[in-house]
Amino acid sequence: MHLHHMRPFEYFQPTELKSTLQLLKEHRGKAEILAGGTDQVVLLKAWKSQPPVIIDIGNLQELDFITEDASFIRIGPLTTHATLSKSPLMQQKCIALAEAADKAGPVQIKNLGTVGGNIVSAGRCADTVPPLLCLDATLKLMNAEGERTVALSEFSPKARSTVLGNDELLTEIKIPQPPPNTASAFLKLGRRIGHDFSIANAAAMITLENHVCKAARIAVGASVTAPERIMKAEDALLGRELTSDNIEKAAALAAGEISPISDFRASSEYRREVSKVLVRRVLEAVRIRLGG
Amino acid sequence: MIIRFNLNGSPVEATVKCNSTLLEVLRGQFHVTSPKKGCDHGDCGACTVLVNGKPVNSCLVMAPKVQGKDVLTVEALGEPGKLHPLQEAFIETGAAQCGYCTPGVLLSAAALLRDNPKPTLEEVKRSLEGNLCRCTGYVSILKAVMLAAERVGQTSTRRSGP
Repeated sequence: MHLHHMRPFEYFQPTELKSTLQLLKEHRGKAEILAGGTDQVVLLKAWKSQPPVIIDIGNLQELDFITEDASFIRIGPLTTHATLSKSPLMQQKCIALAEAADKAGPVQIKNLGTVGGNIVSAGRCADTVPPLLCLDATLKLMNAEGERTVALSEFSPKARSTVLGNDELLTEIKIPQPPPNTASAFLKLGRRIGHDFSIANAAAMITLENHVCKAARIAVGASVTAPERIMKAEDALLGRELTSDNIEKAAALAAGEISPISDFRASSEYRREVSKVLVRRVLEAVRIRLGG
Repeated sequence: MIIRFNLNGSPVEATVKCNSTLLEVLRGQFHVTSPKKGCDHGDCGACTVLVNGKPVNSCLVMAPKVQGKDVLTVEALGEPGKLHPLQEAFIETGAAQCGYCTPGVLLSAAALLRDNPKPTLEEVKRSLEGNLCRCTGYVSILKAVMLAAERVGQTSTRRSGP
């Protein structure tokens, strides 16, 4: 990668949400949002991003939160991977997300990188996205005129492309409270876990009722062009017991369903094989967490 | 724009270009040359500094972001005649060869020991994942951090630092 000195730009550091949305409106089409910078700054140095205007939202403390009420868990987009991974609430109720944040990068990256940035940059390898897909996350997008809600599953139709308007800001990630008897897990494969981008990752979430799967979510990322849920594998578990046999079948189905990519990190054949293993292992981890 | 922040315990100010990074400002304007430009894209950790106590890649921090914050570099960890236990341990185990990664490693390790005074070897490894070293093979570095942890645990008076 050739790195250059960054092109010049106008730089704003708003201290509240309202003025941020105004800035976005004023400079729409010309402004990029800067959060942690772990993605954006690299793009700026490589001249892959050359916005005339940068809006640094790092001072918007109101976007850094993890809260819950009876129905939902809400996460602010400026929550760093470090905060997410250490949060007792995440570890208790959304452990797949805490695990993904913990492995999202080394310490320095986790202290800067945010979950909002992970979602909006829409990279293939965004580790927090598969767990969030399993958790049925929805996103609140705001602009100066109002707000709208988009399901995470509909936010990024393909890698590096989102439905976020050029005057919109992601302000909240909302997760329905997981029902009782629910467990989740996340795994990633990379040459150096916690350092490299994932070659493949997988997340799963299962709710049991009367010993059978009442809800099943399986998502893979990094191996494919964009993180996705594998409905066929999920359907294979619904109404069935979470046995090793059924897990094996679901994993094989998942591996068969995906269209993995080849790149300098790994071939598509390798990714297909390891995705099967990762899906099996996350389901086994969920089974153990459910007391099985 | 003008930025005002605390650098190694002292309030400072500088006029910076918005499109410069903390790394460039520290080295180019403050002549604090301990953080190094290794990869310049957040992979190697040679540029690691502590911002508000947290290890970060200064090559990824836009200069305006440190407004009002505390920035610590390895110069604040210890000095000749008054070395931090980590620095003493590094000398004993031979954990620095070319020394290029060393400032970053020391800061990551110092932050770890501050938050977790009795780390396991695994925890030390994880805390140093973001600091690459091409010379030592890491064994002497890990030994040094474990040795420093043991020693810091044994003394009742704590050195001031990050």
